[in-house]
Amino acid sequence: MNMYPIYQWFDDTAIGHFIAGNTWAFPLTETFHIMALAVMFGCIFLIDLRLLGVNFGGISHARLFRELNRYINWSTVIIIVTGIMLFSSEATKAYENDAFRPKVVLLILALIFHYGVFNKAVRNEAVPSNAKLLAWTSLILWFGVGMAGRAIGFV
Amino acid sequence: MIEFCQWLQDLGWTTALRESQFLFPIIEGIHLLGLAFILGPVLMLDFRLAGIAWRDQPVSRIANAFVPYSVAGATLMFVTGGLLFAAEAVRCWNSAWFKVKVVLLIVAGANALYFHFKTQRGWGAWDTDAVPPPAARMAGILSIIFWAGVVLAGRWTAYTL
Repeated sequence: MNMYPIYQWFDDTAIGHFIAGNTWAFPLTETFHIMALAVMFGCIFLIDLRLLGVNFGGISHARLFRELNRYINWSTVIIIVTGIMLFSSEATKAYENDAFRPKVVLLILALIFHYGVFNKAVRNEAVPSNAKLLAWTSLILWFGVGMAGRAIGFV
Repeated sequence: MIEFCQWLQDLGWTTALRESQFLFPIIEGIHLLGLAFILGPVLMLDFRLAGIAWRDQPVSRIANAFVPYSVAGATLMFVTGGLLFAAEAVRCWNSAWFKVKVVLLIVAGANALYFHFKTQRGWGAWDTDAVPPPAARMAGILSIIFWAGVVLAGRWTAYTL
């Protein structure tokens, strides 16, 4: 299936034109993208470490999850909105970029894993039987998204 | 200083690092993701001090639970950041954003030390308060602002390099 027209459509959106045509808009949007990423990844990272046995003063993984879930959710919203804004400003360029599609695929996998599997497993006080597997999967997926995202700027 | 930067980046291994196709971006990727490692624990205490999160937990419990791990994160950031700086020392030194970043890091560190050695001393009186007194709240809010500034200046350093 030829996806190019979809990329072109994003390129032609008003927000895409605005960000592409404004010197400060792209780096400013990207700053929010990265700060939200740091918060989201920071919170998930703490839960992952807890599942791997790091003892944060006796605070359980479920207690961490309860406290941090709203920050993870809000950061995710900000990341996706700013991500679509950034994408729209150079969508056809992203089409040519070898790192872009792996990143999107990894991101979709990470989101499905996080909201479909991880969230449900860490919500309960009982330590999940596959705690280490959950933590490593989460770490590797999100780390992969970050690395692939960084690679977009390099390739 | 600029002579030192020139000397540093002309060393064999720093030259190799700068010209490497994969190593430099990989270290930069680790540096970027290491942000989570340092900001995760730091923000927990900042949020608690600002009265945003963990309001039902004693401040001392949150500080003791998370702050020690921020040291590990800081070490990772200094090592990877130091390597990146060594490879691009002259351009970093000539970058205004890089200087802003270094200043903000120092200010964020000073804010944390001031809290640790001064404000924190009196926390016996407000340890369990949902919203700590103004001096402690200010320490948390300033920390969040300074760190956001570090991230912003760091990103723009990479942009303008």
